[in-house]
Amino acid sequence: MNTGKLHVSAHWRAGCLARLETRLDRPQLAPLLEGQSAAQVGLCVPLFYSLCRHAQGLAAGAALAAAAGRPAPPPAHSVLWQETLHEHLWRLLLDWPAALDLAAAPDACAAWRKQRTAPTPALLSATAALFDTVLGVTPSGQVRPAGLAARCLAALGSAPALAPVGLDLPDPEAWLARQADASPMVAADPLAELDAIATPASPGVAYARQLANAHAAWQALAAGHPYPLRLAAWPHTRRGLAFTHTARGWLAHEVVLTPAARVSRYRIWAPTDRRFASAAGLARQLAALPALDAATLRRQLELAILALDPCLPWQIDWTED
Amino acid sequence: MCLALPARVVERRGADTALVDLAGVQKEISLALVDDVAVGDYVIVHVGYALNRLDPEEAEKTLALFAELATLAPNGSDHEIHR
Repeated sequence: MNTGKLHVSAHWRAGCLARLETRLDRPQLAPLLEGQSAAQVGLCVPLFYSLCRHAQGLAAGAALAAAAGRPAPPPAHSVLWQETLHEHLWRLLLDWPAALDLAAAPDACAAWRKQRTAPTPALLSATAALFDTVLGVTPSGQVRPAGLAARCLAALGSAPALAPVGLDLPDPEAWLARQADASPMVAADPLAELDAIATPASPGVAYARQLANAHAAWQALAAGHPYPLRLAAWPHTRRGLAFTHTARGWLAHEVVLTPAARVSRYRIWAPTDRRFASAAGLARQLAALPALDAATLRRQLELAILALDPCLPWQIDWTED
Repeated sequence: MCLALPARVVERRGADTALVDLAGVQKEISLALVDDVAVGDYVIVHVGYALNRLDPEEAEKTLALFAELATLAPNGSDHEIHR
């Protein structure tokens, strides 16, 4: 079975982009979860995910517990920060350099990954060394001229971001109150404003934010900060909602249980679904560019997709008249 | 991929590459990010890289879940969430 793909269709006509569309295909998990026991769902949800399995497991466990009127299981804060940091570093060390025709750093990425099972002091030491010697970023977040981060920023014509962006979680009760209709997944997203702030206006802005967010995750891991989690419970309807953070933005799980503690409804809101529900985020980035030829615009489209950071493979279907 | 479909290693090709079977489709992947992967092991693959080596029991459990998921989709294949 296919585990999902993003399709971006672009049509070039008469010297400009005449059509830009996105289509996101991936299996829907909710039908599989509905009807199962809460305990079973809590165990199986993390198994479905690779990049964000710990965050998915956290959101599922917290939503299920809230629906059952129980306290949420304690988050594995360090593991969750590591997962977030891993996603940022993958982009910063592998994907962005490759997209910008710069030398990627797979060996550095592999070496850091191997430290993830080491005791925390060793992992933090490896992380500090990676930021220092490969990315060229100091513990205070300053970007030195000689590092990979400075080269990527220069290639994108961007400056470092001053602070991380997109770390705020919505207020669950207000969020659900505003979500009047119960359409599945992301059809009605009441937090468009929050997402608009988090959606980068250009690849340069996206890179700078990713670097700032990676630095923030590193510092949170080092300081032992609690991993972000917000939840709400409606005990009289056995309904629970949990928001948590991922490298790509906020993630929400909502569950409704039957009196026998079986799942009667399950919904998941994930960042990739929101950012690629339409081509608006891509079109916004391309519209800010000067007039370009077809080949250059196509390359900019690739960078714009990377800027919106899909968690699954993508394909551009490019046609020209 | 975001979803964690286990892939079984069917052949080692050099120090850092392997041929894996991913739901019946064979593809070559990089093993540069994981250690000690042998033929028969299960790995999670993301954009051409093996991300993790899985415990066989967990891999079997996950494959069973995905098989169940596939039966829920129209014609036993994926279906679209939204446009």
